[in-house]
Amino acid sequence: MMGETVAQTICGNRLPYNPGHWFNSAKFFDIEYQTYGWVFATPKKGHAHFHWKHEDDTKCITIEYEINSNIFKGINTFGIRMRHEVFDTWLTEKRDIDFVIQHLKEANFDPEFYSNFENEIQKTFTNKLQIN
Amino acid sequence: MSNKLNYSMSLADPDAYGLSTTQKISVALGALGLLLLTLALLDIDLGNSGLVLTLAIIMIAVGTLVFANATYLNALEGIKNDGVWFKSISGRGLWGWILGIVVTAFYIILYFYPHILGLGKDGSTNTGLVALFDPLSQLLSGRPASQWFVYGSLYTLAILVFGYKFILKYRHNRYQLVRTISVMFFQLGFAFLIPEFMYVMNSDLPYYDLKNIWPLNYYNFEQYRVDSFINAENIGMAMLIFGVVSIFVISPILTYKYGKRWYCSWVCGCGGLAETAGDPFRHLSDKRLSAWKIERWVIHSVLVFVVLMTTAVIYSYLGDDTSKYWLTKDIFLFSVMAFLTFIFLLFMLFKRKAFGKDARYGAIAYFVVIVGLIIFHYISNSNLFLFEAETLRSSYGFLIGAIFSGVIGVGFYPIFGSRVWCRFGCPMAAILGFQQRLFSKFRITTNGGQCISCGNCSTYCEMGIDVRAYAQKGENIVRSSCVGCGICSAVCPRGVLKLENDSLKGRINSNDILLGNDVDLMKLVNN
Repeated sequence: MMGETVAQTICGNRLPYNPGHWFNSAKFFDIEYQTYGWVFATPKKGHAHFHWKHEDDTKCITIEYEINSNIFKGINTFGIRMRHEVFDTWLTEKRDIDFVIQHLKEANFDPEFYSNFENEIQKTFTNKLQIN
Repeated sequence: MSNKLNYSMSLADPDAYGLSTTQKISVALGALGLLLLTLALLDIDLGNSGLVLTLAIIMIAVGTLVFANATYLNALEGIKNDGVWFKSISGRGLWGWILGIVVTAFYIILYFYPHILGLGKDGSTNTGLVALFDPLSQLLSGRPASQWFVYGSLYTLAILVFGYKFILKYRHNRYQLVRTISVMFFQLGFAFLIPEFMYVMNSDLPYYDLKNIWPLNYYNFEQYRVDSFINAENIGMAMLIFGVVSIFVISPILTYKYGKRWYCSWVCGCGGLAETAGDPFRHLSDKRLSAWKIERWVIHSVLVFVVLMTTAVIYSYLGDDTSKYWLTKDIFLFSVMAFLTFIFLLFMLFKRKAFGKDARYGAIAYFVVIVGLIIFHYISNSNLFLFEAETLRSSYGFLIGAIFSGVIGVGFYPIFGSRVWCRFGCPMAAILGFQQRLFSKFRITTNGGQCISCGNCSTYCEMGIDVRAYAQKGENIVRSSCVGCGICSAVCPRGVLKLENDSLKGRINSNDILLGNDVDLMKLVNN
């Protein structure tokens, strides 16, 4: 990534650093955290959050999206691994939040035999729409 | 937890790796259990051997289980490999060496001097350690114990108790949980109990651990076994056919679908011990490129050796008794040659590009040598493969079966890591790995550009694969030696790796650019 850019530049081929969509991941006290795109602590103007939390408090996701167009802006996950490539594509394609929630299974990167929570997340999302 | 103020935060802090009181007591309990076995070994009569054996096994088991509970259950779920390089036993320190030497000595005695363990000579009654296991053997199959029964019992005990410890250590990870339960089940059922029960049902059947497939089970097609399979009629023939089918049909299908892990880290006994008892030593495997190069030559040479040896042995007894074997010497040898030529041509024609240079040379050289030897045998009427079949058989049994898989493979756990045999020696792993690399749906996927090059994956890879080298480039990991234990994926702090079965297309993707860097690749290449 930035290493490749630096190497090209040092070797005489000046290259602008162009780091694609923002992503990050880390581990806090044995809970893994990942982020793709932009999710702010409080949603930006014209944006809103969709939040889902597992009942045992070890897993949650937060999705930021644009209220008018429903366009997906970013996702934070705790305790669930997501696939970088898939979110990178979805962000580039400017998918809306309904699409992301419906296709969340494709983006799962958890090891085999892990429990899935996509159905639960989808249910929460649908319920929330009905309340609004 | 140390109560003293300003305790050291250094990684090398010796205080951090002390034992709790519970752990000390459980170590004492386990050591007393081992002491009972040692006293039996020294032929000191402790009275009722059934009682002493039960006591010893319970003390060892309870000691290990309590120790594991005290180590893992007080902490949060999640892997803590703190201090593995500093602890004497897992960091090639004094305890590591002592353990290595003791286990190595045990294997040498087991294979070459079983009478020291107390095996009765020429059918006389057992003494010592073997006699201690007589009651258990009588209970299961109604015959006195042998040194192999002692070994099998201790082996199974080790897989069970250390499997429990492994499960606690990786209890947040369902893949590890399921896999370890599978390994414990196959060892206890298929390797330990079923053969004993089969003996009770039909004492003419040879000992047959059904999951132990030729060529790992290199003696499966020797004359005495094939004869007794045939003599046992239906059940025996079924077992013989299963033995052939398991290597030629079952294992290729499963390896195609799931990679070699279905066997190496889910079923196999050698893998089972390495994964459970060997877990604290997994980081000791050699990660150097030179080790990989040696590995490629050694493991495939062992495979060639076992193919030659088995061919020669079967060839030597075919045609002895036409009523028994419909296969004649010539048909057998011809089909072996046809099969090898078929495989060789198949891969040379369609998969040549997937081979490294050394692999291509090696394959051609070995193929020419084998075919040359068979032709030479027909021309000059000398022994097939120059040596007597019996010489080949006994030297394979000694060099590979005993020294490599037992003495070096297990005895050197604390020095070379837990998978030395699986990585450098096992001919079964060579076949499965060959297939995994060229024709399987299995791969370890790298999650885009997430890798931070911390190196945990490489460190804890028991097969010595430099996982990081692939992960930091965003490549999939498709290596013949990978046993799919899933530890690289489990220790990764950023969730970068995932074991997957998917389509063959695009499985090996060494040319992709890393995600997170939107450069125009074509422009870059053209520059």
